[in-house]
Amino acid sequence: MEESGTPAQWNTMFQNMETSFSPWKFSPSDRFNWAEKVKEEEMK
Amino acid sequence: MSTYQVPTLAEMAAASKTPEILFWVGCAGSFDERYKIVTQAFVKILNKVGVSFAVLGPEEACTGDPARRAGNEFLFQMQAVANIQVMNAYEVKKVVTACPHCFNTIKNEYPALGGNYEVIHHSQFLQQLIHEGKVVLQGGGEFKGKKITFHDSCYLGRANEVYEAPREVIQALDVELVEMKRCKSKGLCCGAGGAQMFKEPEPGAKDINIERTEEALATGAQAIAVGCPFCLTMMTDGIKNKERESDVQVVDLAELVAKRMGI
Repeated sequence: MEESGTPAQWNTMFQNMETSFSPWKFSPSDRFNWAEKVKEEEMK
Repeated sequence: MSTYQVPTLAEMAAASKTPEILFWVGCAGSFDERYKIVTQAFVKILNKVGVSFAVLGPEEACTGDPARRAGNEFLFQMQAVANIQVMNAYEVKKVVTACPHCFNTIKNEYPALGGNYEVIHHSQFLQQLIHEGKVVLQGGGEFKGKKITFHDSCYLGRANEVYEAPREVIQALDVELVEMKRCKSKGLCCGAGGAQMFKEPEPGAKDINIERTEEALATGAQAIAVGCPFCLTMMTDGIKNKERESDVQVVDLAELVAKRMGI
């Protein structure tokens, strides 16, 4: 565990997961934004 | 006319209601511009069929899969335990997800940490709905009579041996299913599995997604169907690399079904 051969991009991913709970740097409060559009759409 | 509904488990609980299934959206389904369209298509299907479902919404967090695949066991367990606590508090019994990485992790890795749920991939759920006659497919469609090939994702296919459900969904669409040279138990990764999605590919003569795209193109299919957000990205990049965007589409199963339902 002491030896570090981890790709830098994986370290960034770990940081994102720790702070944003996603491997990408998005705000956790935006996680449900995808539903806004569909909730406005009339059901066919 | 009413609009599509996307209830959260928190809203359901406040109304003393318990949905039959939790639709686990996943990070790609929540944030990736392309995969959000798949999430929306699947939610429309659930609405149309009248499935009792809810999502976690802002209470959902990464399953921890990429951390574990990349060797960060501590981070994986932090994410997993937090999610399990939330799901157990809501007494979740059944989970459906459109992400094979989430599917594999919740199904096979959460039980050891106290999370025991029936977990179903959306290809299996769609296959069930079609089989039960709940999904009514309209005739025609842009791929009627045309060739579609299915790319097996690692965590749905070889890790969990789900090969037939996605194929039965495609076959219900009145199209010609064609197989790649390497498929099912001999399938080839898109190049994004095992947290490779989140780093540059290892150096080599050819990127994996290019190799896989060439196999897909060799079938002569007009569409490459996938059931995984990362495969969708990798195969789409491969098609762009080959400059075939104009005649070959990369599509998710839920999109194919939703289109044929006219929604």
